[in-house]
Amino acid sequence: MTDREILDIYRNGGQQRAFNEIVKAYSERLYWHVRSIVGSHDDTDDLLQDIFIKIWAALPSFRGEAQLFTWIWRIATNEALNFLKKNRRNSVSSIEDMSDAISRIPDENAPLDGDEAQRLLSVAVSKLPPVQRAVFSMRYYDELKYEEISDILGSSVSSLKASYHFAYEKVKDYLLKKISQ
Amino acid sequence: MKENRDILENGVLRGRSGSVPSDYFDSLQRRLMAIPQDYPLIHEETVRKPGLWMRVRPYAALAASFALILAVGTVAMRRPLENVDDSTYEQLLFADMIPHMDPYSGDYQDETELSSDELLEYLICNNVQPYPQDLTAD
Repeated sequence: MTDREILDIYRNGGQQRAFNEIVKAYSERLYWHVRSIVGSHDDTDDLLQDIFIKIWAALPSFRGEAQLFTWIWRIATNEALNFLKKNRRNSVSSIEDMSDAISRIPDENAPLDGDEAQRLLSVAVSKLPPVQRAVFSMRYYDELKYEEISDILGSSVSSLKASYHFAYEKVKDYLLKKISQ
Repeated sequence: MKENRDILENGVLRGRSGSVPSDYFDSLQRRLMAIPQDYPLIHEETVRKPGLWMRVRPYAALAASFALILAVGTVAMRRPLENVDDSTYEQLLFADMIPHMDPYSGDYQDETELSSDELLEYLICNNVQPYPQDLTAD
């Protein structure tokens, strides 16, 4: 179901049904987006509950000036970044969990298989500063356009490009360093 | 090794990693779909608009406090002065007749005026020519 159809259902009085469609369409994608920012599963789970409560509460004031997708992503990203700001711990537990996985990479000369490489990438991403992490997540994983990320974060496209470039280089350096060890 | 170096650029890693409990997303969706029951929407029509009294109340409070100050002030000003005797009124009545004195003027008035002889003597003693030379010369 498209965003427009969901909004039509909402405007025609089907608030709860529209919300359920949003949950179906976005819950899993939002889970991975938030998890790539906060790191741990438990924190992501708690945050998702808060995010969808906010979406439900704010739906009556959604005027359709932005895309529904952008609006939802903005709420989720702000919640995740505020969570990191409050906690200031940058998901240390998840980094430690990931470090165990890194140590199990069998042969430094052997090509990485997908799962190991993905875990390694998660560690690298979790070492980025929060906003760079969010930018990297949206650009690399979600493959959003810079204009969309700009709408979500309220930053200029040029600053987002710079932010993504730095994040990308840091992640790449980290991966190369770990692989060459 | 070259394959490893290209791994980020090729997007092989774009898949999400991280362990999730089994059937997590189904249970997550069920929990999230229960939010509307737990948090019913407050519709605009259910929010009571403030009544006429609520809107007028601040202005009424301001007017009442002004009237109170005016009433208390009027009562206080009109009350007769009980502790004032007639001598006070007499002092006020004759106040204009009390001469006004400059505190410094007395000193000047008591001072005697210098005579012309004294003035000449003072000038001569201080080697000041009392008259210009050409006027006294024949």
